[in-house]
Amino acid sequence: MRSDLRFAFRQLVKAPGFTIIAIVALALGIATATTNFTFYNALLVRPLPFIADEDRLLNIRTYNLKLPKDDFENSVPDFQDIRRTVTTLDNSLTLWNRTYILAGTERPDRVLGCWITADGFQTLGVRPALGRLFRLDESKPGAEPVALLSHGLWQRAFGGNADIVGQTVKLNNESVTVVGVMPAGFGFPENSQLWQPFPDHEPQQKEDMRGSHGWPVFARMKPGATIQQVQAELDTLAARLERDYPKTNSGMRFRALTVREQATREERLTLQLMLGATLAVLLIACGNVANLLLARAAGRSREIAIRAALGAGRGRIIRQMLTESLMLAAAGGVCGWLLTYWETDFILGFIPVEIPFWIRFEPDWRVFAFAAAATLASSVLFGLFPALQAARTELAVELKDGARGGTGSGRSHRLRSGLVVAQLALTLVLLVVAGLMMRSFLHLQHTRTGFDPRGVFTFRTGIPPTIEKDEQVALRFFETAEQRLREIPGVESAGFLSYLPLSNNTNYGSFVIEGRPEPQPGDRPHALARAASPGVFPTLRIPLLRGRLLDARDRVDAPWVILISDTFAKKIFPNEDPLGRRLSFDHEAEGGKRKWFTIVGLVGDVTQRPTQREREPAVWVSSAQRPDNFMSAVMRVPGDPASYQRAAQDAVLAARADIPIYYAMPMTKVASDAMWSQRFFSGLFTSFAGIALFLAAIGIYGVMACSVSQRTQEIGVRMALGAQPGAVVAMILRQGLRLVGLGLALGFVGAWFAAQLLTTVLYGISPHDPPTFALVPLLLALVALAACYLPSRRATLIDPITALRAE
Amino acid sequence: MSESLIKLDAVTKVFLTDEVETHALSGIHMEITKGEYVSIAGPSGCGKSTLLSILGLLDSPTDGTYLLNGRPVQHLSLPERARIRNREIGFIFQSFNLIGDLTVYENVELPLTYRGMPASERKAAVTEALEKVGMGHRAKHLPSQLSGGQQQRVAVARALAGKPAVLLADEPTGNLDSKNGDSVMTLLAELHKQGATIVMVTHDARFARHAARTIHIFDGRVVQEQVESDPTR
Repeated sequence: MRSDLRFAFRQLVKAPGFTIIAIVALALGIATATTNFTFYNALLVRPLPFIADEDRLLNIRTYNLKLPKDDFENSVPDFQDIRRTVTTLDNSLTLWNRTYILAGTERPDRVLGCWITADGFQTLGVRPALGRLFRLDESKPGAEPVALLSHGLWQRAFGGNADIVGQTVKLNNESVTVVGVMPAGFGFPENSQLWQPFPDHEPQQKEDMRGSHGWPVFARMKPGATIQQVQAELDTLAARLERDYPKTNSGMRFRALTVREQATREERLTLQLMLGATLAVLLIACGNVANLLLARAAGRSREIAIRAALGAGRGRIIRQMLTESLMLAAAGGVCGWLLTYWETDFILGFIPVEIPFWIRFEPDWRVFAFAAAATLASSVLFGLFPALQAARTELAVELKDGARGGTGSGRSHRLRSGLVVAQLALTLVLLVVAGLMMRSFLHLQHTRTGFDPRGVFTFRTGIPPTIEKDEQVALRFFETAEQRLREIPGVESAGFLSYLPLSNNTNYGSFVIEGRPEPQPGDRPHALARAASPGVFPTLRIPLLRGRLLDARDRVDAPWVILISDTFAKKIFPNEDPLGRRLSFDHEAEGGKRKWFTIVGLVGDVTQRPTQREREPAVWVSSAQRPDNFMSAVMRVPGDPASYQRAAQDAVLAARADIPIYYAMPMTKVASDAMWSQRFFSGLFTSFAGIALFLAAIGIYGVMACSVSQRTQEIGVRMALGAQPGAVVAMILRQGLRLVGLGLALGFVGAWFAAQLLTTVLYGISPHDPPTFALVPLLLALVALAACYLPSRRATLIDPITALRAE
Repeated sequence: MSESLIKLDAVTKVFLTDEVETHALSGIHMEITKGEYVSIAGPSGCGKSTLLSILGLLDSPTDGTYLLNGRPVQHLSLPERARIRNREIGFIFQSFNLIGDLTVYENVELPLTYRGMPASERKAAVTEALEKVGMGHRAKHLPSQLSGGQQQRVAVARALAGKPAVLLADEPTGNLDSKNGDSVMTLLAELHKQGATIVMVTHDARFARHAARTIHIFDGRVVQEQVESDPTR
């Protein structure tokens, strides 16, 4: 074996060009596959950090039987019923994300935290790094307020003070005792920085909040229980709740999935497609190296024949050749592994959102094992055919004096051509997939959003209800802040709204229309509901189509008014004039009277979720009539919006010194970030396809160059007989184009079927998008043609006399 | 009576190319005994190299029987043929067929490596073989650093190193000038004197006479056998 290794090493050093090309191709292929496996591993394979026995931890969501795919969070009363009655569950928790304002720092600090069921951490199976978890009595009325800090917040705000446990901190104007610090990196449910026990006396726990969804539920199955058993119990419970509470629970069901399935269900298909695409790149790289090795094996046929003549059996020769392959693969694997680190960091740099705590991209032993397996499999994939081919040498022929050697057999040539056809086919599949993803992204990017994000600066702010229970105080704060913002030199207009367009945050309300029959429970129409101050419409340039916009008249004591979107009007009032009609969001009349909103205007549609396939009906209410504690500001400014951050912050602090701003950025960034995953994945697929195209071009160039070299004498004879250079070029091109044509035909069929897998991740285009299916093969054909043309040009430079001497 | 090493009985070899049958060998009968020095002579294309390929198990006959050391070998599997080539046959080719990327030592060592011989035994055998052909001082050189005559001596050493039952030499002087050719022929003669069985293909009558017996081939048939009265001449 040592002699095999020594000889293999010498062979690789002796041909540096071949070795470098092979190692680069393999490194690219292995790095691309391993980088993607790093993502795949992080989301779908690697055990969730801190969570004990994750397969028993379920996420339970609610859905309506009429829209089974659109599930949502639960209501607290439903959660309590689940906790009380489902016997296959050991324990369960719910939580509510909250914004905290931490006082005592130089400027008020906004901290994202949550309320969590007091024994929630026991359900997760996580222990604190310092101090203790919550006691059950700490959620009772009158209990002393307590909090657990994240490791990051403890370090950042308290300098990692080891005596923090037992100290009080000022949170939302309330003195809270720190009872513990969670382990470094823990941020359940996503990136929480502090936790408080969910108070038993919180109004959400009351029975009349059964229709108010928004509470995630996590539950741990009892040992030995199955998810099917839990689901069966949940179905029984849902049926009972439907009978007992028809107004809120009609048609409602629960769905239990493991936490990982729930957290990754949208990305799973894309990740699987990505891994498939990168394995295809690896296959293409292997095809290239196999082609190079086949060419080399042809040149080494005499050496192989000598070895065989001296008694090396077929297995021994294959072992010798595979040793070389393994050495190449090992070098490619090491380079690929190093490249993986760089590539992973590089790709992560394109993710603009905060990554949840449980996703760990650092390569672990699984990634290493994958890279090692990819390396080993590559060496067999690209080394086996050339080795088998080499071991088939015709001894008596090769050992004859004057045997030419190096031409390769017809079988070898067919094998090499076959590899090129396969490479081209795979490349076309990847290019088409990338093309479709890119077209889909461009479609999203150019979809009319209904507002103008250019020249707009935005941030979010608000007063936590624990600081100010009175909504009117919050309203006055926003009005003062808006006034201050308008006073900033250069600001053309400003306003506050409950959720930014394209932010993916949504708030839906079901409603009844005055004068129409009361729908059955569960049949009420829904609309996206936004609250806004009058300044929002000119700032975002949302067009008024009919009627009027919200204005200063629409105060809390004035008649309640509402604006509807174009889609709302078309869907709800298809043949009626909506202006003047009234609707109510109340479930039942309070004291016999509902609160009615009168439609006073019709505005253009504004996209809330960029990936929403159909436009949603939406309504706008006056923020003065439906105040919120937290809102987003929008300011239309000249020049660079980002340069207004400081002034905006000062304006808010001037309105109230204890309130910070956050999520401050130009509105164009909000719009861009809203589509980051589509841009990210289409960019990744395009880069894979680019690598595949590069490798395939090298592959076909190599085969054609080798073919020209083998046909040197034939070409010399042709030229000696008077063939024109153009005829020689045409002859070589014809040979190349046969391969290209076959590769494209097979690839087209493959792409057609592969595209069907993309149906759910494409927006605005068909999986069989005609421009993509027309232009991408054309692009590949042109590149392949260029790769064929270069060797054919070289063929015309052959000197007939030299060529004939080659005989 | 000397012991038979090689016995061919009605051996034929037919090549089929593009539906054209070429009869390279037609009913060859031949017997070579241990310790014999036989030359196979004939004009170009008469089938002598094909015959040597069959004798060396590089190729198999289309028909007939081939007994090597009394064992039929015409239908052996590929691994078995490789094993016999490695242990019982030493090849000397016209174009030396040394592996350019291996040193002289490694070239000679190669068949012993395939045999699975321990390193210490290999070293002794390689050193002995190289000393025997007078190339011990060139052990670390690459073939490209040697003259043609020296390369052929190394090839002879490689053939000898494993102490095969028979040395098969295919035009061993074909690529050498007369001086180097004579030197290689002298070397083969010395090996024969030491007991080696040698079968040599040559079309040069001057060199054929070095063998004790010359078998003349024409059109794939044995047309004459000639015993030299003084092979050392």
